[in-house]
Amino acid sequence: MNEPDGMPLQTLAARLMLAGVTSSAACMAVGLLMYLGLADLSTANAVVTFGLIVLMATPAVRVAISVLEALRTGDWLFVALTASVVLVLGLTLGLALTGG
Amino acid sequence: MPPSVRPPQLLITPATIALVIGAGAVAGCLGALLGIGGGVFLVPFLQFVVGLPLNVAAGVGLMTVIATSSVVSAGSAGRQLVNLRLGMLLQVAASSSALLAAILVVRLPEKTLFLLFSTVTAIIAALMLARLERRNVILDASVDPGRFGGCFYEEESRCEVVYRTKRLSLGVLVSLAAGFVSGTLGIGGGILQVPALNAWCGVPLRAAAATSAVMIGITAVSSAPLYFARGDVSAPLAAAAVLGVLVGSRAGFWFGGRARAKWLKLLMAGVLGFVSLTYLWKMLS
Repeated sequence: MNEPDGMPLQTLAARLMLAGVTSSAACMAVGLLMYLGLADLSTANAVVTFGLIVLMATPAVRVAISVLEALRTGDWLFVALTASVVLVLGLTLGLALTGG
Repeated sequence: MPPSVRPPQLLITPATIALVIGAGAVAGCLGALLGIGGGVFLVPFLQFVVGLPLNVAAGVGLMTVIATSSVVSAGSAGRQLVNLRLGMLLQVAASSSALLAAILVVRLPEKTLFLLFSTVTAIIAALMLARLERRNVILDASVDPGRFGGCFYEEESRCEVVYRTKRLSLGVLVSLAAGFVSGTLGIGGGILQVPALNAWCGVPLRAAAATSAVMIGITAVSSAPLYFARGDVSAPLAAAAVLGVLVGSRAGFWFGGRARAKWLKLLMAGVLGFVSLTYLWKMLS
């Protein structure tokens, strides 16, 4: 995958994390107002839950970008370390999806 | 999880939501200031004041840790301080341990966890107080930082400073403990990592805090999906806490750039002492 020149991966990571946390916060704020406004509780719950899922995905994106940063340095140890973290996160997700 | 541990119905009123938003704001401010995540203040609050069981308080705590971590690591001021290579080395240990903890937590007695946690935080608080005046930076930018070391511009010295890491095996061990604490109690593992990296591994406090801020989110997300899947994340309370923490952490991060390392250490030691006593009392009662 090509990355634009002049946009270091660190900057990309920071922007994506900000986007992730901002959009999840927006979902949670809207969902919370729906709770308080006595709107349909299941809709409110769905909106808040979506926000929480986006929030949980945000650090995972940071790890994915760390893999790219490691690959760019060509340091095999750094690549192996970041790949191991991806593996653990994958295990967590797999266990969660199959009911722990 | 035996059915008796789970509350029959969480009573969530607008007053509860307002209370949790306010507590989140205070927790977020202190958490961002110290680079340890807001969970360490919020989880005891949710247990004592709101009356949630530990598993639900921890589930909410993990969400606030992720939020604090994301905001702090997205901020431009701390980015140069993050030592990603060192962070990823420690992250392998922290994430594995957090995953294991999330699997084991439903089988461990609460009082054992409280006692362990109280002891560990008391030791680290004492360690921080003992090393208030110690500095780890080398005031010569031409020094080779080594494989896991780093360099950054330090305001206090007004120049580029370099640091080398040492005793990394201790750092890995502490990361294992940090991951376990994060995965069982829902607080940021940074509460263990920052003092240990600073005191034992030769990482300057601010670099340790910035690196830890990135790590605690990844550590939290190594166990959060399991809490989520078990239904231990109360959606409205988690949202209220996260929104509070987001507002509070902005204030904390702004203030953190202006506070001196010595005061940060003193503040952190005080916080650790308070948390230690809180859990000791909880264990005995």
